Amino acid sequence: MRKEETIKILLRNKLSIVGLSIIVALIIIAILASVLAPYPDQALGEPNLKERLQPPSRIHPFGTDHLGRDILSRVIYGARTSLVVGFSVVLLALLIGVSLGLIAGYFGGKVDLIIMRITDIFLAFPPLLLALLIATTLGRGMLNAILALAISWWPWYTRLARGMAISVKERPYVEASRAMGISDWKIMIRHVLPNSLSPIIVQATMDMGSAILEAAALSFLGLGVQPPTPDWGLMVSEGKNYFLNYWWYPVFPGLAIFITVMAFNLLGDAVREVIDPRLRRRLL
Amino acid sequence: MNILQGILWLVTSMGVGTVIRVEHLKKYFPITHGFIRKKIIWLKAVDDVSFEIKDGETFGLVGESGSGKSTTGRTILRLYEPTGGKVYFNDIEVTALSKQELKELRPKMQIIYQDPYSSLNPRLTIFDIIAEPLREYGHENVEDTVLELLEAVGLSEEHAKKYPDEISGGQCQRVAIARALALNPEFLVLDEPTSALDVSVQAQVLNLLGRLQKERNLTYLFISHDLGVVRYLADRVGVMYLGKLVEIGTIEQVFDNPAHPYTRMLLSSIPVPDPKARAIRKEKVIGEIPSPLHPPSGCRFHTRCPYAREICRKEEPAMIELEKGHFVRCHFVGELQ
Repeated sequence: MRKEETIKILLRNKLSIVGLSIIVALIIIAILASVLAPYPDQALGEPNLKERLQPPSRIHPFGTDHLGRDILSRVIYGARTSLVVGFSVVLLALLIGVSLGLIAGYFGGKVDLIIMRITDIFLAFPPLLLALLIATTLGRGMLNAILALAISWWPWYTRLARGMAISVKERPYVEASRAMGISDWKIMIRHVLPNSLSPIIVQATMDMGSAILEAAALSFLGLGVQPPTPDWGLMVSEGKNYFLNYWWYPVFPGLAIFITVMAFNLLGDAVREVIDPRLRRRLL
Repeated sequence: MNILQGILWLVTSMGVGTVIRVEHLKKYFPITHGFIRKKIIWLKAVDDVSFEIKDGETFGLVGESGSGKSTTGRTILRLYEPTGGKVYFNDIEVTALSKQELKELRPKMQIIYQDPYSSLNPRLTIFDIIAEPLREYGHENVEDTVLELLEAVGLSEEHAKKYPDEISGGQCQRVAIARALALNPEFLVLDEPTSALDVSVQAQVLNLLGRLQKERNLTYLFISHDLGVVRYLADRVGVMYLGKLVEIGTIEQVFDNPAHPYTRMLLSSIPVPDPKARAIRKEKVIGEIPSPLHPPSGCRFHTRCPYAREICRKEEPAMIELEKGHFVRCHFVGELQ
């Protein structure tokens, strides 16, 4: 795949530029949170009871929360939590899902049957319900929330990877490798995996947004990140009690979630255009 | 394995004999219907096929699509596990080898595919594609060897860094040939190697294959539906119909004196660039190849054969040697001459 072409397509679609810029900005904000946030101490939980529930002003652009903490600072720090959770969930789910899917699709037969039946069991649960169940079992906390979401997520990638592996393993270059006596595992890693990845990457990019959203949902329900860690879902959850009189408390973290999820979806669309050779040709 | 290698060396050093011997080879694919109560119908893609390929020879395998030619080629290499029969490579029984033994024999037998693009991994550079077999078998000087191979197939160093979608179909096919040659094979299955190429490029690739055969003393199984190409490249030819060989002979025997009605039909379908010649053609191509799931009884060709009689519906004809090396599977061989 040629780099100039990739960049050309990415830049052709204005929405994808928006998505990409937002995500780049979010990553920069997350990295530089301690520099950018006006009140880093408050962001990390230090109460400031003198200034409780202040409306947005010059000193506190997003207002303050029920403990007087600067909401802007907490939203900025929350980007760290959200991105870390989103990336970890998707990465972990990819790791489990893609390896199982490749094995099932490539070897077929009984291995396939067993792996896919297990996958079906996981898919039978509504995703958030399963995550809730696991999170409740494992206990509260960010790490457990990541595990819970990844465990409820991997079966989707297994299905996708299996389907790709089944179609890729029939291609002549795979058979040519077998004719050269190359082992199944090497064929899987060198030939089947790289040629199965495109739709999986698209799916994963789009899922990043949903993972962040579900992590926020877990936090909102009290099963994810625990206070005083700055987290958007948690802030919305805490802010909901103050919503009628102090609208800025849940609205700004909510907006942050909304913008982030949207940005990942826009990027996912763009990645698909870059990766899918048919769409690619039409766009060039 | 030492014994195997010993035998191999002995046979090849004598420079005589048969490289490939196929005995009663069968490959049936199960077609399943239903989910709980499975019904299995066997698709007999290759059904009792026997032939030999001699050292340095090109054996052509022709027939319509669905006749089982490609399956025969793949089963010989054990890319498909045979349902029955035996395959010998230089007197080593390929069909009896364990997985490990087979891996050690693999370098000696390689395959070239029809579609040049899909036979190369699009995510690897040409260099990595050709280097893969070399690295697998721990060759030294991988870089030099790859460049030598590129040169041998008429490509240059500048192609090495490119990806398959950056070069032409003909060049892709040359890369596939270079990869197949990397391990110094003795036997190559050429599965319609030129069918997907432009006519001008076809000739180049065919000439390259011919030259390499002489230079490296290669033995070819040349699978094709293009009779003109087979006539150009092959020494002997086998005609397949619905999983069975119906005629085997030298190019002269089969092309100049076709004995099986099916062979005649195929030959008469070659376009002749002379309008007057049309009147001479006798056999017309009638109908289409029946489904191999339900092959006709008796002689499998009887449904399309202009000479079919009662016995053809009931009894399967045996292979009859018409003259030395010319075999035909037909009840009325003598009478149709």
